[in-house]
Amino acid sequence: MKIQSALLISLLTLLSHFTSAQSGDINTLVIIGNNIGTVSMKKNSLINVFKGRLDSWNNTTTVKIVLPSQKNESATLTAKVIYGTTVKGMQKFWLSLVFQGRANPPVFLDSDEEIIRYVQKNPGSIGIIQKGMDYPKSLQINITN
Amino acid sequence: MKSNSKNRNNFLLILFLTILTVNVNGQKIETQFNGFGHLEFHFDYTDAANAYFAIGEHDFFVNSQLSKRISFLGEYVIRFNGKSATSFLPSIERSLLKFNYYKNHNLIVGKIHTPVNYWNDTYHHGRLFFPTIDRPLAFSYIIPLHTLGLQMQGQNLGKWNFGYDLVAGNGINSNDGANQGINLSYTAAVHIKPIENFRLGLSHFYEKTNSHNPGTHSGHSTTYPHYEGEIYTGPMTLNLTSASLSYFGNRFELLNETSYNRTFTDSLGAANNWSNFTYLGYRLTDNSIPYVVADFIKIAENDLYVHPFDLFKLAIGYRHEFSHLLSLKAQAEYLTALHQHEDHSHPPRFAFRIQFAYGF
Repeated sequence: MKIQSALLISLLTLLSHFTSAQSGDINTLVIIGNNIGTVSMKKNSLINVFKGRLDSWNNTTTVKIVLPSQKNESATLTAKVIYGTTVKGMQKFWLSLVFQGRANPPVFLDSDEEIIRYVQKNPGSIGIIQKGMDYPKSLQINITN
Repeated sequence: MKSNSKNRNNFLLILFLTILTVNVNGQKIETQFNGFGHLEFHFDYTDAANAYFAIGEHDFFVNSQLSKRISFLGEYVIRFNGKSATSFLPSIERSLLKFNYYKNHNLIVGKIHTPVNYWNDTYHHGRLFFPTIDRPLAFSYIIPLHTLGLQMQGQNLGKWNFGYDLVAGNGINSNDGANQGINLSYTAAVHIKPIENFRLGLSHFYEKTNSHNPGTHSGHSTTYPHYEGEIYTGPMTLNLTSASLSYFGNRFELLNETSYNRTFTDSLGAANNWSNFTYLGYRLTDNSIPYVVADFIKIAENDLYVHPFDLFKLAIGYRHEFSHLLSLKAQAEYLTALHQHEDHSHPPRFAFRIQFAYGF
């Protein structure tokens, strides 16, 4: 049993060595949310949410993820920071996850202005925009470590 | 017996429709449509060479958020069938309603892909997502591909992203409209995802039938209809235990699917069947992935479900991902039957295949 446990731990350690670590600073992005039951989230929790690992918020609102589309300037940074991959990789990730039936599809929008408008109108939604954009401060989600 | 089964199905349907009615709250319905398909070129050599193009399955996928907590998912496939008047046949591969009743816990009713292993739970009919050209050999024989019934599902629970699936549904003697007898099939599956891109899963499928009518359920593969010997139709107990290990990282890709299938009949007792599929890939660049596959299935001498034989396949291939919506795969494979079916042969086959898989 000890040998099996040691083998499992070794395998996980080896795999985690090759695992795609997030290769950017999440603080280079702004997270906005509407009625998600909190105004601050830990970095790891945020990444889990954006990877489709949460179906509903603590306040029972359904999670709705809003992401920049390929046309949106912040898509490359979002893909790198949140998904540790390219825009193509991010799209493939979501296409596959939705096809599995294990997550609801996210909304991809072409501009940060559209993302802000969508989040404002839809309770439970959480989105990503670039720094420097004007947005209602009531939507801001603070990122903690 | 049939009426009991029908009453139970009606009760479940009414129960779910009631839940649906309570939860529809006038929200705007969001619906996403996708299509997937593939085209292939084959060069096969058994006793003689054959070269041909083939049109693959074409898959229409729908996902719709019906209300705050209820969503619908449908997967409809049209595939070539030489016996059809139009040469094509449509089928409903998945059609389900999902009720998110608490956090990451869901109640699902409808036709699903039985969550017995990673492949069946992940790739479904989308060749675009397949790491190789085709499915593991076991999928044509011992894997119960579909279940029509009720599923409890939990996912991404706790630090290790624990997930569970509990399913009760129509068994191998049923079709998508009726069941013979009152026996259902039962599946219990668990998995963990302790690190990114890694999943370890374990499952068990159980069914006890009063009679065996292979081929009734289109979603349950057996050796029927290609088996030419006498088909066993008596009572049977089926157990299938499966383990899946998958890792799809930035460079290395690994998938291992192992299954142990035990069939029990009064006449020949317990038969122990095995299958193992291993895929190894290495991402040379963002788009280029060479890979190898080793796949075998071993059916015991006293098995009356598939009937005894062994198959072994070795393949080497290359996958090029042009985008997340288009891939090209080329695969050379050697398939040999180490042990033949009693009443017909499975001659060794060399094959080379090219597949374009796409989605939109």
